[in-house]
Amino acid sequence: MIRSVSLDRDGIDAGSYPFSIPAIGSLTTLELHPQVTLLAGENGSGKSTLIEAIAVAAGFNPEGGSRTMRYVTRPSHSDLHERLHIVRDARPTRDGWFLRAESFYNIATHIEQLEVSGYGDASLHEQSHGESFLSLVLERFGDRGLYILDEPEAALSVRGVLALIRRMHELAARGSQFLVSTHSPILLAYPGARIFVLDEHGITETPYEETEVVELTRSFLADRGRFLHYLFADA
Amino acid sequence: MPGSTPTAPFLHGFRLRDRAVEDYTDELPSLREVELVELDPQVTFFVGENGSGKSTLLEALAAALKLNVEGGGRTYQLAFTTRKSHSELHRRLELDWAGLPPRNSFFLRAESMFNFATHAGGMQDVFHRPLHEQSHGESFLDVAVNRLAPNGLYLFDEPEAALSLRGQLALMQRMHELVAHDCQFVVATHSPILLGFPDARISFLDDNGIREIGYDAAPQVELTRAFLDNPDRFFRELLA
Repeated sequence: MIRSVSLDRDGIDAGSYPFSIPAIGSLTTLELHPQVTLLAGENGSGKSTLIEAIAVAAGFNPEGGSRTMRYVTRPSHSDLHERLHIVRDARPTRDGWFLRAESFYNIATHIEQLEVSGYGDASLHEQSHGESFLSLVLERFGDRGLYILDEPEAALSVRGVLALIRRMHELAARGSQFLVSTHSPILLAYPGARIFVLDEHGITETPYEETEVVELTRSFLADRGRFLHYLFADA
Repeated sequence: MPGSTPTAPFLHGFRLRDRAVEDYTDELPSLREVELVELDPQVTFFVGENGSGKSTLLEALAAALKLNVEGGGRTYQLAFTTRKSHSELHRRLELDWAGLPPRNSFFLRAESMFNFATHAGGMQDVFHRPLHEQSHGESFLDVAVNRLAPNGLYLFDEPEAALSLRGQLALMQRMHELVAHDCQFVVATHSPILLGFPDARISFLDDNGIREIGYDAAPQVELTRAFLDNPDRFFRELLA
């Protein structure tokens, strides 16, 4: 399992991608929670870039998949992973998946080609996107695993997100660790998790109630008419 | 020339004819008894649980409109296919046109933006940057801003999958602009935010079929409200 991730800042070119992204350029050391660490931030804030680099540095394929799957249909976004130093804790990692929302479609095809069993009765392709995602989490994720998930709420209904949280809670109690990027105000509320917000100021640990997505969602649900009035007047 | 420009609404809706071929969608309770699906002249949402059939229904509509079922515009039709994973439901679908077909149409599935980006290599003139150098959500918004034009019929499958809350709001702004320029949207979504688009029709799919519901009664709105009201209490029950 991962205790912390540090960036080797020696000779980095602050003007070049991905260090031109404030959250990446200002990174020194990120201390992970032993159970659940959440990354929040806007599109383009660098959370997918960072989470992918951490996953690759931890031995996963940039495309996503389990730690034993090795197949490449494209190179990773950046070579950031080469500069990341991962400090592990004493717990050995027995299992692990890196899942990115955007490539799950390809992973389903890949799993089918491998004819791996244990995904429920239906092929992942015959289930809906959200169902296949949940099947994987419910049936294949196990104890003492390292799970790196990039926006796992992507395919899920609110009920699906709640099912995911329940499963994470079970697995965390049995020695698994999660590093999850998310836009979901529900997933972000995971009890006791460390939340890091990536934005133009860098990476900042932020209490749940102070995250923008929670504040905005609350105010939208309280009075969407007023919210949209300003939004559309602003266009 | 008056009358020659296609304007929204393009579709009043569609009918599902009797099944002639067996298909796994026969097993979807939500669609079993459905004969008619009516669409709003501007914005219609399909909502429901994972597996309720909302994406299947949207996909069938896209196929009946001859849009690529993996997502993309007309020019992408059959240009790339990772695997045939759509149903035969579109064969039963009879479109109820309101007038001329749209000048522009597009079916965007968030889940296949990755494939779309890989195959959009020749389109740098349309996009600011190659799609792979953008984050997932940014590329989605770029498509929304650059590819969606007036006089269009647009189908989105869970577009929030790729977007932050601000991204969803930006998409809603763009939709609001386009609705004023003779566009019609059909959107499957889990998002309580997108669903708040003013005056939209919300069609809810569950085991009893399809029915129209109000915003406040949509499951994602009720649940998100209840959750944000008191996350601690919600978790105590969920994780008990």
